[in-house]
Amino acid sequence: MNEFNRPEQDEQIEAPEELIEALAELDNEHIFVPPSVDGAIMAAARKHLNAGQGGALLAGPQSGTPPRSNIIAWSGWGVAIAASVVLMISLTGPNPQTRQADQAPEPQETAELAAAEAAGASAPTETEAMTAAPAAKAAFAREDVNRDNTVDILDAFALARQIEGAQVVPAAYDFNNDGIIDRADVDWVARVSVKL
Amino acid sequence: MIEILHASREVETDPQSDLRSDLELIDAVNEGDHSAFDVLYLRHRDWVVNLAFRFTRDRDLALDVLQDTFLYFLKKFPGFRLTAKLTTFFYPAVRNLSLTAVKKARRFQSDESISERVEAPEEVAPLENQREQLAAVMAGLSEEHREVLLLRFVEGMKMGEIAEVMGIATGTVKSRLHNALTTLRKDERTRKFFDK
Repeated sequence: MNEFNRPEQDEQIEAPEELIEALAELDNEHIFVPPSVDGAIMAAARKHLNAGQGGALLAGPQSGTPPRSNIIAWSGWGVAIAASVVLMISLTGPNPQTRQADQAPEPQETAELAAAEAAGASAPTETEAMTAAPAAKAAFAREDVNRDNTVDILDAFALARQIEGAQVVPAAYDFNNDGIIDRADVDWVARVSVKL
Repeated sequence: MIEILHASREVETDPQSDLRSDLELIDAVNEGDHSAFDVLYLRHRDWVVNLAFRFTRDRDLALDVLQDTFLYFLKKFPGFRLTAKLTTFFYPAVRNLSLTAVKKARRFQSDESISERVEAPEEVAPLENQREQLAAVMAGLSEEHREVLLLRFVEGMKMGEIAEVMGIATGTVKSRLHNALTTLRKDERTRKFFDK
């Protein structure tokens, strides 16, 4: 397969215009993203980028493993950050978790993660807050909105979604004690989650 | 009494009004400009969440994947270098995070396989219109075949791009595309698209 054949390969595989239109229409699911989700993500970006050019708060350890896709070229800036500046601060549980998603998360890592969870080991490469096993019964930190034994930005997201969804929100989530559960409380959780 | 207020958009950045390219925005983010990240987020948000929904077929999971994807992206800064389209970077992350999210959700549901969840459309009886018939035939394709079809003719990706995001050889992309179109051509419900 050489470069000369590449344009011809694309041209040979064609589909009728009507089919293409129908496929586009079929794939036309549009998911509404609540403004609170937008706000939470942008707030996380603000915190991370304003934390300093060192990116101290959210940068995870930089693995020497080549990225899964070679389209991402590491600048070399990244330096392994000590456990004290990892994204997820574990307030309870014996095994503080480090989010080390330095490459696109692999599905097969999930199986390994499940096994590691069962053994109580750390989660090595997943971006989601998979910390202690779901059966953990220790008291949760009050900012641990999603009850995963870790206070991180995902708790801010979870609170934002609860607020947006007009769900019944526990009074305990009034973190700033102003009598209202709103964006300010989401920001509170976000601040706590990235605090050194 | 705790009053629950809906969060409102704090940032009304219009991605349409920002004429900077993704590359320029990424350079700005590397310099600590969080507003540039906001533009990138708003520019690609809908594509990411709709792609996530395509994989998860669940709105809440799609929103989770949206958040995880941009958190994963955010952690690349500073130091991220873009060497292809940003959607090419996002695609494998969204796919893998979606698979992980579905698997995690599955733990608390039935033993139904992930492929069944992803592939099975809602029951629609009878199949009266062309759209539903196409959906039914598409649901019968393997996930790999369905995906190359959508990437090629809905996302407009070239063979090489598809190969890159899926982590397979270009020849494999061509083969899957050919097989998928053949299936559609042979199926009596979708043959009409190919009749001239």
